[in-house]
Amino acid sequence: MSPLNPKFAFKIRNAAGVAMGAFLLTACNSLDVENPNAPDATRALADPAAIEAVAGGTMRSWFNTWDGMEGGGPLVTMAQTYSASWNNYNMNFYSSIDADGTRNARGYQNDLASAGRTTMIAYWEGYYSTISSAVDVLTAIRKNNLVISNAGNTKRAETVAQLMHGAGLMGIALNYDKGYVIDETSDLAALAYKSRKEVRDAAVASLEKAATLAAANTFTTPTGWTNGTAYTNVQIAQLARTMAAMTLAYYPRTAAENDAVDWNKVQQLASQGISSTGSGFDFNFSGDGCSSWCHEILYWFNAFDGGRVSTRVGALLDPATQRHPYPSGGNPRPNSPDKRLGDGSFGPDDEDFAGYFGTNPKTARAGTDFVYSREEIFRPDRGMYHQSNIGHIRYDRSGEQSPNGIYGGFGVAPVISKHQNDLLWAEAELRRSGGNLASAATLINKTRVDRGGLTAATAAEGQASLITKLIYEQEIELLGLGPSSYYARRRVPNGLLAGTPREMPVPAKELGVKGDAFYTFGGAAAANSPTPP
Amino acid sequence: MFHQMRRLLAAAALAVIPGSGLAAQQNATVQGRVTSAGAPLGGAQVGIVELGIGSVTDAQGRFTFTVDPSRAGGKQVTVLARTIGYRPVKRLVTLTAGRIEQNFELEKDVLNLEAVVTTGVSDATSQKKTTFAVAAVNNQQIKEAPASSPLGTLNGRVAGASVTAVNGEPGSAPRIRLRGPTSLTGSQDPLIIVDGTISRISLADINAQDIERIEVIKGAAASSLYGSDAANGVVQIFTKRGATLATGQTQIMVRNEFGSNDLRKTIPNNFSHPYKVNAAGEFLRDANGNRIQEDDRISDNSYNKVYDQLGEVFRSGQFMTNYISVGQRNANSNFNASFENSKDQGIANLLSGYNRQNFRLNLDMELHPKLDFQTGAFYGQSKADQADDSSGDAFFGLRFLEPNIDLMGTNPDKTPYTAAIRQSPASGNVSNPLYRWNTIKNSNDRARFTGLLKVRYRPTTWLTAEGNTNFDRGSRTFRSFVPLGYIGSTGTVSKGSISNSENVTRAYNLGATLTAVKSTSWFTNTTKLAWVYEDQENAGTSVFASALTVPRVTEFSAASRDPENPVIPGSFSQPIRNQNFFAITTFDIKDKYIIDGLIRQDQSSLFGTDQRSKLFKRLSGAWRVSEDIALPGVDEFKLRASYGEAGLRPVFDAQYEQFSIQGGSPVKITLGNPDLRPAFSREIEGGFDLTFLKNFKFEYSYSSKITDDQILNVPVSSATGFRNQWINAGSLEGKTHEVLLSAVLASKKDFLWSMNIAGDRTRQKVRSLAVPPFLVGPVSNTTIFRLAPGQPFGIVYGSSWVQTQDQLTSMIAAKRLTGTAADYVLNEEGYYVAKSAWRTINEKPIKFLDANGNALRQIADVNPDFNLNFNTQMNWKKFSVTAVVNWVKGGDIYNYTRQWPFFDQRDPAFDQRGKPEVEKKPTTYYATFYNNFDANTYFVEDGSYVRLRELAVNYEIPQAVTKRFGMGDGRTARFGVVGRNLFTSTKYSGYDPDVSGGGNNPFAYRVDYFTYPIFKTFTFMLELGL
Repeated sequence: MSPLNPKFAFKIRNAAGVAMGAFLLTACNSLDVENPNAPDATRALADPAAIEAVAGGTMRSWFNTWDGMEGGGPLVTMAQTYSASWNNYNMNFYSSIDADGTRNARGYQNDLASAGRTTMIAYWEGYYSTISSAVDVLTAIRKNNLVISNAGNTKRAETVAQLMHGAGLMGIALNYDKGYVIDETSDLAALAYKSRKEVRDAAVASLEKAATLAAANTFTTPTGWTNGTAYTNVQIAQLARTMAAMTLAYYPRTAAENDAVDWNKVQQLASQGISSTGSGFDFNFSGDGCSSWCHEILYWFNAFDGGRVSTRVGALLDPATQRHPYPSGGNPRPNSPDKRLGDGSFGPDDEDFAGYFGTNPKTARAGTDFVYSREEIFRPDRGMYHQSNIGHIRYDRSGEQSPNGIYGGFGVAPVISKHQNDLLWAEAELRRSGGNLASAATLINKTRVDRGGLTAATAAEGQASLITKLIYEQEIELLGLGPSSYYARRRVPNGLLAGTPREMPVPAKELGVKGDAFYTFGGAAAANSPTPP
Repeated sequence: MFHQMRRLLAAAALAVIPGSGLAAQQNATVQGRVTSAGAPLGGAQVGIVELGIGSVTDAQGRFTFTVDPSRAGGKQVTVLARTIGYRPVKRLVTLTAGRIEQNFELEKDVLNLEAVVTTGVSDATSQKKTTFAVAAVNNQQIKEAPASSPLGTLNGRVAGASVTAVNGEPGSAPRIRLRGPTSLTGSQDPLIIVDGTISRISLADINAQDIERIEVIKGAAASSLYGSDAANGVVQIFTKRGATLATGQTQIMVRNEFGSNDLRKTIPNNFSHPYKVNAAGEFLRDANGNRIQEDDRISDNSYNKVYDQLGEVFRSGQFMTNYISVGQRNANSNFNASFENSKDQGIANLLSGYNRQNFRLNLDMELHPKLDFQTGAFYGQSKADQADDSSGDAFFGLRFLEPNIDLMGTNPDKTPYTAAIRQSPASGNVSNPLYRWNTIKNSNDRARFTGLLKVRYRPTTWLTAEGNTNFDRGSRTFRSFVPLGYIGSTGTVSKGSISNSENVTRAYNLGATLTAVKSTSWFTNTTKLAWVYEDQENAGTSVFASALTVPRVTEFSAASRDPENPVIPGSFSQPIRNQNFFAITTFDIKDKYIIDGLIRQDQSSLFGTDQRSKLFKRLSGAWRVSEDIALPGVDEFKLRASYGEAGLRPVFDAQYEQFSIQGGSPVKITLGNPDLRPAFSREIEGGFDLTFLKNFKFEYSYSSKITDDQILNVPVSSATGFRNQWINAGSLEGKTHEVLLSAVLASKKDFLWSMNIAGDRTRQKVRSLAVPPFLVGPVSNTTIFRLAPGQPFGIVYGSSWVQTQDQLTSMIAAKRLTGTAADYVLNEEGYYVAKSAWRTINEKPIKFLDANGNALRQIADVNPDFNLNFNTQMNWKKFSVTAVVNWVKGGDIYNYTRQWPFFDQRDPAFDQRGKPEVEKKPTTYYATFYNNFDANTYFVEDGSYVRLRELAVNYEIPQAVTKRFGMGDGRTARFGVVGRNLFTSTKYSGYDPDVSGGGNNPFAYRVDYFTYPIFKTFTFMLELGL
């Protein structure tokens, strides 16, 4: 073996030193790497400021679920409230009508291997995400005694978490045959399903608890929690009562269940709801282009090319011109007595705009909420029942399909309107024993006369006539405010096509996790679960 | 490169004579000449195996080296002469003082029988002695028609290697799968190592012409050496270093290729419509201005004008490469430097495509007879204006256009190419790609730097210490500018947008190894101990401005400050660290029996905190039967068997509990899993290598592979508030047969013809699943592939139509259909329809429901019956011809590129012109197959094809001619033509059967999904050797 040249030997020693240094350096580099991109519970739930953000975030997650299309799109089209030929969110599939005029083959596809399964998942995941976050906040404050900067802010977070806990349970109670009731005392490892009635009652109790908390404290919510509007503790209390009223009123799957509603309680709650004082207020948030805040139902159905108003609703607005179902060749321009449609004219005479939707320049008779487009956005042979000439543009601020308005996902988006509370209140007066028909007529007229320009409803008409007018207002005035028109009206008086499910099963995804058998509603199966005792 | 030469020599050792006291006091000088067919062989290595001493021949084939007195005392040693592409020759020589003359005549090794490999083995090993299948592709096979990406060169050359283009977009890298799949939902990409650098970045940046050779091992049985990231196999690439040159030789190679790309095939539109027209062929309109459908709804009326839309959207694009390399070998060093400029315009009109410049420098130096080092650096940069920002909008919208739409019109704002497609009934799916490409500027710029430094020290003849560090940095900047005033296909005018994202991957690995080679009279043992540290960081930043305020300003200064149109920033970083140790030992007993074993421990930050390390093992052996038993006609017969384990690492964020920050507040998304382990693949590989009749080689391998602990993202109960959790939840098995037949069909003075046939057949199924069956791929919102225990992997789940008598009978029996079988009739297209509706406007296919009313079942299997690849090389005088043919037999393709446009009747199936009147079907009949976009049998097509993937015909210009152009002796000039994807025979109706649209698993998800079509290329080549 030849001796090393000293020059090279020196280099080798240096190299060995470098190598050893590298080894030590890397050996000290820990393999325990913290995820820099997303927090875990120790970072997200321990800090008071983070818990406050979680509390505020429950509102956003609830909004986005309530107004989301994955669950709501099929519901509003199955109810023939809106109509779309697109199959996004399985809308086309679930709203298509079979050759025999029924929806016999359109039961919910509650199978992990079915494309249509996503309809059942969205609300379930969204509401339980909201509930879980709310429980995290309540646990931190009530069990761990966490203080968010001061007692006022702590109570504010606790109240909003309680409100959204109830709102989340409401979402489950209105949509599913059963669900979990979770609060800060729950053992998640030993959860059992509760019947939809038990979930409903838990929701109402939670919302009433939120109302009590709100009434007992003084605060204003940060505007960031709704991306726009601040609400006082008084308003939060009113909102909680409106939601509790919604829970009771929108819960029934059948006429019999509707009769069983405690309408006195609904009246009691709605009369202290968001339209009960002064001029009332709407519960809103603002869209950000659907980055984080998205009223997807309006985003889709306040767009001419996304969806239209079902001809069933179009015919309500102007039975003389808007035939249902859609006739070959379409319907002519409307001349509705309802100012919300009027003659259906819209927008400027702008070639870029009207060229696609049909020239129909705005006149003095233009409606405020609805427009007429002669253009068919789909071939009628995809299903005439998907076609309509009437579009809903009430919440598209410019009425011109502006990318900066609801058409683009921006702007103020109503979630629960004060008129919704009016109509809940009116319905309670009409349905409860000894209800005040004059009050009901007054409440109906707030939109029927003021916004619709229609003849005033009067107590003298009697209950049946007033209920018809109430239903009309619910159909027209509440359009776009979540899928409530589907729940509130269409399933109760048997207004849905045969075969249409009236509630959702526990999603196959959840059933699969628990090892339970799949089941479903609609189609050949029952439309809904039996009324729980 | 000197150490490599020593490794090569050592690897070929047949016997070692133990050292003993040497009496000689004078040097022995071994010298001579290496030739082949009488011509000198420069660059050949000649040396004494036992002593690790030798040299390299010069351009005249001459070599000389000296053995010092202490070693040259009458000892008998083995002198070996070898070079790549030739069969080595060894000779026993007695070392005596003074000059020893030895000349060697080497024969060409056309079948590559003597190739030496280093991948997966303890040290450089002759393929004759590997205990598992190692495929090698060398520069001789690549250089005739180099692919634009290194992985492309494996296509058709390696049995069991499936290479597919994700799409035709210039600059996109193909995907490769070795043998069967290992992962149910993750990547099937093998571990890629380039000159020792573990590459985590696309190989699209590296040019194939720099490659000296590629080695491929295909599964855990071979790849255990690489541990937890190697269950998909390993592809190791070695770039040119000037080491094969003759001593003193400088080689300059200039290669230019120029040609064009063209769309291989067009997809027909529906050139008829079902609307009423007047005498001039114009649409009749109703009172609302809408077209009026014919009562029969049969699409058989001609448009009064149609445009060649595909002819306008696609065009011939330029393809060009300019490559120069300079290599030199001196007594103590060798280097190779290269530069490549390439331009690939693709076939999309208006776009300039992909432009890349690559620089590479590799240098080897011997600092001392016991110390040498390698260094190398690569820098590449590329720019591309993309046809798609991966949304697929351009090629999607194109498929929905009615043929009467003029794409070349002018818009109200005077910009060219019709933007608003205002044709009622309007479809929001249409768009004009030309307007997009002319108006939206999408750029995808990449830069890549890799560097390596390796030092090797040999303190004794039996011990080698090696240290290496490798660095790899790649960046990708994607920028999209949508100008203010951009017109959507509905006519709405947008405020434009700018997005800019930059992703950087930086990785380095450090390694240290000790290799000991000890020999006795009957065995040689090679043992290696190694430590490898990997440090990687993926990081990215992005900015998005959703509205602009001024026109023609392309930077963020133009972004709106309107709160409703916010500028949205984003960033991420993923630090990843791995530390691995391994020991491998190989016993070569009497040159006949080889036993190999290894153990490796991987520690990774990607594993759950409670599962930080994982152990992998391998045991393998080979028996060179022909060394023990003489078989007539058999030159070499080796049996081999190997059992090995390897893993697949989880993705970065899989182990973590994750809250997503949405709207400023944390929301639960992923439940953490501290017990998350790497997927664990166990493979048994057995096979044999048979060389016979001097000119034939046959290799067969059988692999049985089970990959447990599949890493799956599964749902959790929503009661937790979380959506999912990554767990080890399944097992996948695959069985593969691979064959490789190499033959020299003719070998004469002026004529050499060789051929390789490589084939494989894989069967794979899901063994178990700890979660209920679910659907995956090809993309997140369109999942049609079902994963269920006992089912093959690659099954499309969907509905079917009543097409058989049995189906009809069962439907009637189950009262899913009314009446009797006589009430139904099989129509002209093979579908049962109601007899009363047949040949009426009401005719519709009937969806098949089983006895339980289920419509969903297996409707397709994307797995081919087999792949067979032909690769031939023919040299006749100055001509050479290379051809690669791929044959994929069987395997279905699901064609969404047809199904989705059914939505707008944009498929030739709707076109009823030319049919007998009674056989014409209404649009409503075909619209039934659209099926709300859910998978059904109508859109399942046979994916078989035979493709002439490469064809190169080259001609070496005689020196008599080149001299006229001033080129001296030894200079060469070749010109030729190269075709890629020139011809494909298939029944598949789409642009190309090599489709993998959407998702990250193009092999399991064989779906056509509106991607940039794969095209053909034809070029002229001129190569000068200076």
